[in-house]
Amino acid sequence: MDYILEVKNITKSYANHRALHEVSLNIPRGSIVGLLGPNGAGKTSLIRIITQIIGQDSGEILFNGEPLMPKHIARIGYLPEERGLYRKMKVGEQLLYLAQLKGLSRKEALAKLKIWFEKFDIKTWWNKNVQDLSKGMAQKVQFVATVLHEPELIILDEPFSGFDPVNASLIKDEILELREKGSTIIFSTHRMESVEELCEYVILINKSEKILDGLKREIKQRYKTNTYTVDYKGHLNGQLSADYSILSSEEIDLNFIQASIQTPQGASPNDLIKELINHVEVHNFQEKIPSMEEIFIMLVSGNTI
Amino acid sequence: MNKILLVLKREYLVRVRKPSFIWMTILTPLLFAGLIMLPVLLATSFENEKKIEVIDLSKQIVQNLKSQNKLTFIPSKHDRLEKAKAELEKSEFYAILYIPAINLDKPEGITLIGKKSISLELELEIRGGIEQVIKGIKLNKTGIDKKVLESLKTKVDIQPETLKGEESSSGAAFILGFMIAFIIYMAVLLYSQQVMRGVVEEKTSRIIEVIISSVKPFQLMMGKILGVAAIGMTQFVLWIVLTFAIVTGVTTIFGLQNPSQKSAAIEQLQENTPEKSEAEKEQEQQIIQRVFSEFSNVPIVLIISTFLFYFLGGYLLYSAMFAAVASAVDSETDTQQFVLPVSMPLIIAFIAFQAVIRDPDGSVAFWMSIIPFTSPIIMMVRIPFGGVEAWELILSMVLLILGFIGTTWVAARIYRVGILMYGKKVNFKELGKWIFYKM
Repeated sequence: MDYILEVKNITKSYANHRALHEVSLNIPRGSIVGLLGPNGAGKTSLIRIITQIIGQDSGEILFNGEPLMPKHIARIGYLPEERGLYRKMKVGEQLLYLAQLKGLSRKEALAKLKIWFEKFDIKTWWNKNVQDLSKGMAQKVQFVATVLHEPELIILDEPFSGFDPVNASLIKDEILELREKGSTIIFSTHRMESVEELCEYVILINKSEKILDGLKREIKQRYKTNTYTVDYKGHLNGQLSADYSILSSEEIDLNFIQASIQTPQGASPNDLIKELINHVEVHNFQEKIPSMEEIFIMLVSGNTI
Repeated sequence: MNKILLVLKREYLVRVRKPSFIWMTILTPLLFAGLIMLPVLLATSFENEKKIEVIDLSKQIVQNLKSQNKLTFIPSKHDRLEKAKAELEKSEFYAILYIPAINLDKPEGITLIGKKSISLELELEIRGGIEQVIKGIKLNKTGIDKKVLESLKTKVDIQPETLKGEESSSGAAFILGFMIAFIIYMAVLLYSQQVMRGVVEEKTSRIIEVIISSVKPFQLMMGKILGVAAIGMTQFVLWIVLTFAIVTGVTTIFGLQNPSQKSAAIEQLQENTPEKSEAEKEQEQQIIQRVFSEFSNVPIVLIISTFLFYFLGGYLLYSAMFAAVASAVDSETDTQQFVLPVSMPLIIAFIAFQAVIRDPDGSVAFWMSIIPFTSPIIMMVRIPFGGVEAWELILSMVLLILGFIGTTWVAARIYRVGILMYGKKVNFKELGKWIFYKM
């Protein structure tokens, strides 16, 4: 597989605690990667090491196969969780400045900004002072600043916090479009619904260590519990063989029951259906795939799904 | 390097466009010019010529009263006070001086009647004039030859010189030393606190992490410090040019073409104090003249170039420290606890000014002009006195350069930790630990 970023055995300690311990992971090129973990797990430290804000104690990071160096800063875009703008600076001027810091020339930056200002329909903001913008407006400006230099790797820390639904979906579309154009996106979040919606690849960090990474689809398969949700008409009481256990059941409509049934190890869905049709009329049958949230909570807290 | 320039440019442009910068730049020269010209203007333009009508019944005073300094004595055509009084309101005279037939040993009954109330200054001036006249009359009576009296006066002139034969110039040195020390003190504090506020602003607005994902913390700090330095230099140049322009403009309008005329005006002020003897007056005039002539002996090029060097050096040293403490706090109010300790050496230097002026080549002066934290002020106090050896100056300059490289290095190490730290109450011990953090 082609990786844009390879993190190898990164360890980082601060004065009185360990932030990362022997963390290794790979970011596949062109994917949208969810970096998950509870507060204080070490996500921000990892991001800051990748963005070269801080350095690691040991370990190595490869960017496009070569060791991470200051020159790579221009190819990474970073939207921190704690983000802001110079309040007393005009929007256009500020974006020009941030773009130039990323290594664009003034001319290039102007040309690119023009496109974004038209795209977001914010041309009238150019000469506005940042302090006159609403929070949502300021976040659009920050997003533009993050992606303006067309970075290969975009790191977004809690990108949707503080966005109203309209702007959130606008940014979501932009993220997808950037991926189409070949960028790789890492985003760090607590909001599992956006992980479900956007991410193909997931990394879970807990207590300074990586505890899980891989394709979201595969992870879900790995953590499924052979449980099925069945809607049926009739009565099942005591008629299923002892291998199948009914975890819960409730009447959802007149004579319609919805039950959650776990099959024994090695049993296929068809085995359950065969068993069921002898006793009841099946109206709906669905395998229960765990949500990322369930997997997250299970792994972090140690409970089972 | 390129990024330091980008940061510098932003810091400069943002500040140079601020209304407060523009106002400060315009108003300060007005203040300076005002301070320079106020005494001169007071002594000349605002004082109208005053004519005093004199009724002299003693018949021996008025003809000897010397008109001077916009004060003219004119014998009255009346010989009765009442008549003159009745006409005073409509006359050109400012006041009536009434001298009855007096006993010279015990003159009584002399009156001064003004249209409006008489100022103390005028009263003293006229009293002094009359006293001089009476003194002259009495002298004549005793028979002492005036020439003999004149010959008793001996003019002593001491020419202070240094071993090297340079003219030493303590009067001008005092004035220059004080002005420069004060300007450096104010400017270093003013501009380094601008750096401090800039750093706090980046932290509170939370843009800091965005910026340092593009530039190194050191580049950001240096860019900011140099940007504010450029602002300081711009302001200084504008202040000097504008002050010069205003002073020149106003003096042309009021007809005071050159500084020597200024000193003439000051001499006039001195003359007005009649209690002083001629000799004293002369002495004062000489002192004033010497101070003015001394200014032309002061090594101006040396002073201006060292002034710029020590201002820049002192500013770089202190602004780095202010940047470091600013990085550690979350809001501007939290900086207060650090401002005083950090600026303490500068304050001590400013207080030590007195001692240094008294003994500009003493050991206090020497050490404080060598140590980088106080040298920007103390060396600039010493230089106008002319007693600074070349090796002292070079040592002091080298140490100042090493000093700011050192503080900048330490400050940068605190800064890179501080800017990412939120919600932590810090003290100097904590800051000290940050120096040794690995990031």
